[in-house]
Amino acid sequence: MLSRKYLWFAAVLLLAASTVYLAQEHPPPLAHPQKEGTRDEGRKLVSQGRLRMYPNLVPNQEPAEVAQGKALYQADCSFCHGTLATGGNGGPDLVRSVLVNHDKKGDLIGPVIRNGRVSKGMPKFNLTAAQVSDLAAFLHQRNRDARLRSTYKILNVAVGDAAAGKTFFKEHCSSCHSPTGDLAGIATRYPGDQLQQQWIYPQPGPAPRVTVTLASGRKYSGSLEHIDEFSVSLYDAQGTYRSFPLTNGTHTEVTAPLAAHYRLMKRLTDTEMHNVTTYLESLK
Amino acid sequence: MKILGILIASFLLTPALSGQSLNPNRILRPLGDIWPTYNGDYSGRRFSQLKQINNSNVKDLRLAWAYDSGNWTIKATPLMIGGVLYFSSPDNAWAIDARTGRQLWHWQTRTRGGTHIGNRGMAMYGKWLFLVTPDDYLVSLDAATGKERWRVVIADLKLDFFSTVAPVVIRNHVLVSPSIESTDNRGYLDSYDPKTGKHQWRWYATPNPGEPGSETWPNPDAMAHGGGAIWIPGTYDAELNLYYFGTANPQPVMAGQGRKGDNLWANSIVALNPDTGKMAWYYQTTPHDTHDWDSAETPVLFDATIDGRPRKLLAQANRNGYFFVLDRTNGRHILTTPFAANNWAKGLDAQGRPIRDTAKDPKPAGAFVIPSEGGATNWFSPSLDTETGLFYVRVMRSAAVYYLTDTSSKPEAWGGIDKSVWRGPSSIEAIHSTTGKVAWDHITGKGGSSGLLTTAGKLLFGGDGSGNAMALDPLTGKTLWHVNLNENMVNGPITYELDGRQYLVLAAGAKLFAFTLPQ
Repeated sequence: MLSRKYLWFAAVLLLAASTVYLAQEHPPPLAHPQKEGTRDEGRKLVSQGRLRMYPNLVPNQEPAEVAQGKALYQADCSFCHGTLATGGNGGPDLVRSVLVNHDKKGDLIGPVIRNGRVSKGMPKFNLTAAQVSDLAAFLHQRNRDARLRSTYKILNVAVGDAAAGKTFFKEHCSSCHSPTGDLAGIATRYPGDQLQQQWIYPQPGPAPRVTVTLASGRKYSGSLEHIDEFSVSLYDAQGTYRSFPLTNGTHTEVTAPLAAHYRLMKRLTDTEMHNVTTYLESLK
Repeated sequence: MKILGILIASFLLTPALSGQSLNPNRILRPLGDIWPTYNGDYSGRRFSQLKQINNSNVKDLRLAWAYDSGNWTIKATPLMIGGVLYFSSPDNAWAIDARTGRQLWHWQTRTRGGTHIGNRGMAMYGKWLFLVTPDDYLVSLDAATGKERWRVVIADLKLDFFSTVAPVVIRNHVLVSPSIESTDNRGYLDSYDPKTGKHQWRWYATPNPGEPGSETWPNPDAMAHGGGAIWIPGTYDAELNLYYFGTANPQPVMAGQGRKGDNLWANSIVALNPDTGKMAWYYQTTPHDTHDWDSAETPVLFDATIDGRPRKLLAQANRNGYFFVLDRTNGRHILTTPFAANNWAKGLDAQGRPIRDTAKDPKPAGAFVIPSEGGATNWFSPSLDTETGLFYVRVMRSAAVYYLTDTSSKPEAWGGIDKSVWRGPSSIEAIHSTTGKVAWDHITGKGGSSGLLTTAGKLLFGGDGSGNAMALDPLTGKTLWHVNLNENMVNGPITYELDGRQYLVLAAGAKLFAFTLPQ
């Protein structure tokens, strides 16, 4: 049984302990432990453009060096390693090569060029340090270009039958579009591949219209700003922003302006796609 | 005085942190007071027996705490062991108190580079944690302090390998694998010793010349650079001692003319012995892929009766739009059904593999393909509820024009590109696990890539693309609860019980949120 005296003592001790405890738990505000992440090296490099979040790549090389390296490559190397450096007449692929990928400014490529790989049929090449460095720049640029698909060049998309495309257009598109009206000169406004994507389903396309009917019967219409399962928002004719919770009794009606494109897209064949693109490509 | 002494002592000490240790055998028990692996247990079902939070009280869920990592988007599924949550993002790892959200430690490393696309989480063995970094290290941390124990290089960063996977611990094996983005490499799975980091074995995702499978490649060079990266942690059957995982696309990705053939074991579900690294069986879900249809999605293990016979099964909702069920003892095909619209396949072959329509291969002038390269689903964790028998998956709808840009006989890297034409609404879909029939499809609007969780409380947790975390009725798909967290939930939600309270923990953006019922 504890006496009252002990209880009093214990209470003081507890109070003191909790003060110490709390003091330890609340470091001075300067510490900002929750902000540690902002010093993160990877994120800093990404924000500075020194590291790509996706995909990671070797950096762009000096264009003049790449050009000189390319000329050297075409003259001395392409016969065996292929014009694209992906391998060819006996020479291995240099884009996926472990040695080339580990090279820095010719430090690994240089010795191979100068000494050759005689047993594998590669002769010695008497190149200067600057020439080796140029060759390395060309190969590293080639590697980057191969990896970075966003820079890939799309080839000719106008391979269809323009007359058939015109017929398809008349049948399926002409109720809304005209080659002499809204689409006059359309081929001059988009490169071929973008024209192809845009006519199938324009992006971003016009904003859908929405009408919200509240339980009271009151209606609001405008251009749809956002909709999910729980709320809808719009800009009305006056440009006023309004949002509504989608609770019981509230109805929304969204008019998709691209519904006709969607219907067409779902049944589109590749032949029709090529034909219409070829026809639209003629509208210069 | 004795009682008082204990009281004071416990008050003076840091909160009780005993028990942050994991015996790998514990992973074999049902989920409850811990969440010890990426998928919770080894099955990949992400189904918890907990039911304190259930369909009748879920509407009362309230925020218990929030933790802002101030860092990358959290794609990791946290572990919860002994009252502590462990999670990671590229170059970073944290331990936080699972009751309060207080940070215990934060580990951070300077990066050498590498694609920083995400980190799926950590694994634990004893008192040690394991994670991979974008620059291809497997790192072991002391779980109590966050101090680094050792690190080993698991892949060649200069060859464009980078690492995102959550390691998987099976007995004394730590299984990890690097990812491939564009460079024509060969995928592999590695095993390391959890104590020392010593390499144990490696399984390559493409065969060597002369081996079975090599007949599906035109030459040794194509095979040796043929891709098949393993992006996602696999699942494990202890009785069969088989580890199951999916392999990604063959390389080059979209230009197939330099790798004629089926390209084994890219885009396959693979079973191997974790002690030896020897493959037991494989099943290829997309022969000769040219659309980036990774077969990386989680192979989920479950048992069910088919034609009156109890079977050990494996189900996967594949990026290519098909749902597969296999016999996991031998890899024999049981069923294939489409769970999302596609136009790239002409039907199924005798083994239930989709038959590729060559007209839909990338073409110089374009081929119109449903879906786009992101696929019908992707890395987002699915869930299988053993009570409803339904398999839940996040479904995306899209269309793209696929262009072949490298028409040479030996293309490199991607060799082609897909241009998005249309992005439709996403959904959470429920598929009957033994028939493949779609039970319901809950449209969630644009975007959204959350993982899913089911519980014995008759709940399915997931998120949409508008920042909402949601609980659905797993039988009907009806929404029972939601909260908007401003950012999208990306990782897989988890649940655990501490001090008799059930917690739901999920991430939105770089923040973790914990929900409980009012006391």
